[in-house]
Formats: sequence, C-alpha cells, structure tokens
Amino acid sequence: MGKNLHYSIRPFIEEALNSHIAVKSIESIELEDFYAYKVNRIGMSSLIVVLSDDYYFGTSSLYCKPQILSDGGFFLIARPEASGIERNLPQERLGIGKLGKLLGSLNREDFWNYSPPLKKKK
Amino acid sequence: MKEIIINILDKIVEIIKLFSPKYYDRITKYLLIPGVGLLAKPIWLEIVNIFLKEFNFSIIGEKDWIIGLIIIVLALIYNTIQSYLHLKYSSESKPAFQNISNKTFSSFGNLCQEILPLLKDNEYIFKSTGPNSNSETAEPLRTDLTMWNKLKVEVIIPNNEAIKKLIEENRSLIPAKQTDLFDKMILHIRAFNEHIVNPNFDYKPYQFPNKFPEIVIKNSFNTAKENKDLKRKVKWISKKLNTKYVSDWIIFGSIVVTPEKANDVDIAILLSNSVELKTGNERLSQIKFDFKVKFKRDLHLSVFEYNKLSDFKKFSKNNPQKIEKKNG
Repeated sequence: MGKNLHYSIRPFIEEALNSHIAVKSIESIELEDFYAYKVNRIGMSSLIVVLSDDYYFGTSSLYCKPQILSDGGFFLIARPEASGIERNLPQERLGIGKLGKLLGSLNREDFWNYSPPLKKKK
Repeated sequence: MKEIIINILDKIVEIIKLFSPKYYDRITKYLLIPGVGLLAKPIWLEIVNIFLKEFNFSIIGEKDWIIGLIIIVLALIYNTIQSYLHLKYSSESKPAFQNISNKTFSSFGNLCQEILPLLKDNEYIFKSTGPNSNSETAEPLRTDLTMWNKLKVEVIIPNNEAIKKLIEENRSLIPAKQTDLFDKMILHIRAFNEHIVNPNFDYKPYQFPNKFPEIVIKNSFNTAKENKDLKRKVKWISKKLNTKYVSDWIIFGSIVVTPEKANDVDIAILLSNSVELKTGNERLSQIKFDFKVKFKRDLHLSVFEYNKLSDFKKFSKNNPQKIEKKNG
C-alpha cells in the first residue's frame, strides 16, 4: 500500500488510458495512500482505477484496498514486474489485474467480469 | 510486577506516538474541539465549570473566545508543521541522474553504488516501456513506443552520460581486471548516443556488456553489508519481525545494495500459520509507522499469507541480493 512507483509508470498508464478507444477522459483523484483515476468512458459508466505499488499482490493487498473502491472499480497492479493474483470479485464489482487486463476490461460495461484471453502456447 | 512495568511503558509509548506524525490529525482534532467549544461557549462547558468551581478554577470567563481562538490557531499551526514534515520525508521517484553526488569516492564499491541506481533506472525504463519487453508474460505486445522514445532521450541518455563521467573521473579506483569491462561500457554509451542522433548507425558491435551490471551489483552489495546505518535498520527490523506473527522475511531491493540512496526499505514477509490476516496486517501497520518515526523512511511491505509459502520462496529466489531472517 502506498505511492512507491517508478516515475515512468504513471505517465505510461495515463498514456495507455488516454489512447484507449473507449475512454473519453481521465481525471486524477487525490488520495493519501494511493494514486487513483476516474476513467470516463464513451457510452458507458465511468470507473475508478486505483494503483497498487505492491511487488506481490496477495490477499493482504486486497485487505488494504482503499475506501474509494468500496462501490467497485479496478485495483491495478501497477508495477510491471509485480507478481500475485489477477482476478475478479463480481459481487464487489471489482476487477484486479495488470494494465493489459484493465485495457481489455474497459471495453465492457461489466468490467468486473472480464478475463483476458489465454496466451496461445507456441 | 514486570507486567505492570511493561504496561506502563506501553502507555508511555502510546502517549509519545500521539505527538508523532500520522497522529497529528487526531491531535489537531483534540485541540480544535475545545477551541471551537470555548469560542461558542456551549452549555456543556458551563456544566464542566460547576465541577471546576470546587477547585476555585474556571475555564469560562470574559476572555474565553481569545483562549478558544489561540487554541484553534495553535492546532492549525501544529497540523501544518506535521503535514510539512510528512511531505518532506515522503520522497518521490525521479530520474537517477538527478541524484548523482559529486563527492570523491573512497573505494571501488562506493563507485559501484553510485553507478547502480543509474543502471537500474535505465533497466526499469527499458523493461516497462521498451520494445519487446514483457514477452514472457500475458501482457499484450507493446506497439506504442511513445514513452520509450521520450524517456530514451530525457532519461537514458543523461543517465548514461552520468555513468560515463563517473567511470572516467574515477579510473584509479577500478581494479585492473575490470578496466576492459568498464571501457566496453563507455563504448556502448557512445554508440547508443550516436544511434539516437543517427538511427541508421549500427551499434550492434557495441552491445550492452551484460557482465557490467553483474560486477556493479556484486560490489555494491558487498559494500552495503558494511554500512552502519543499514546494520542499525536491520537490527531494528529483526527485533520487530522476529515474533510469533511472522514466519519468515527478507529485506531486498535498493536498500541492500545502495543503502544511502534508497528511499524506502523493501521487505517481503511470510505471515505465520497461526496468525489471522487482520491481526497480521494491523501488527505490520504499527511496525511501518514506528519505522517511519524512527528512521524517516517508509517500509514497503510485500505480505504473503502462510498458504502462499511457495510464492514467497519464488519471490525470495528472484531477489538474489537480500538480507534473510537467519542473517538478520
């Protein structure tokens, strides 16, 4: 839990979100312990994205999720090198995963039900 | 008797914590409530005054509003100072070349510690924004290289220049058996810069020497082991973590290779089988806070539940430079 992210990560995420076909705009949200955005989508509801700075995203990370995600949203595992769980909690309307999963889930109103396609074995 | 003393000490510690950062909001609140109360002269204060009369003391009088106002101003000043201190010790990540010190280095290990953050910064940018990165993961193929192209010019080149300068100005510290390797690094930097200016320039013969970071990391790690400040932190952490709540832990990341430059202390923790997640997290939050107060640095925790033992072992294996519980 925290804001301990390499300075290149947030601009990279912002660039990816702003370039997304379903995204109208993004707004930065000021939180004490996390970086967060409100993502406004074209023709769909907006969603809250909170960045986790954990190297390992486990149950403990989920336990520390901020209040702002209590009505749902996406808990983004922001470090590209991070490991841990990528999953959904549909009952909480919560998606959890890395940037690739977030970008895929933005295309769906029920973003909390999105799962990325499995990578083909070579 | 021993228990009573421990309880008293715990209470004293709790009181001291009330005057430390993070608790400053609470202190402010405690000051603002009576301050506003005095200013507004509510009935409850009159009631309190009835009891205070017994001691010939009154907190209600003509000057109450001044006292109230002073308390409020003091509370707000206190809050502002604590907020400032909190911000002062919360350092944001920034390009490594901006943190280079121009001091004279006393050893090859110290020189390596100055070079390492620059190398790590470049590596991180390449892995997180560069071409063909993350090919081993489920992440989609990166086609938008806007950030990579931007950071290449704004950060990687200045970082490389800083590495080159450090090597050139400290040649006397480089052991004879490593001079070829360090020269290869300088050639790579020159070729990389030329490639940025002229994309047709082929710098394949001057590829990044993979052995270079190996040597730099190894020497940084060996030098860090003797760092007094790191030893002090490790001792404190060991004392706090070697409890029934924690089964195992490692300290990893920049603190174990460049302790003087690290913004925080990374620790991976395996909780005990018997501890509940809630209890474990509360305990760890307390340790984080105590560490911040004592060392003015953040503890960055990666917490593994006991049923994720294999994940913890894998994580530990992926971090070869570390201080383990058994050595702490």
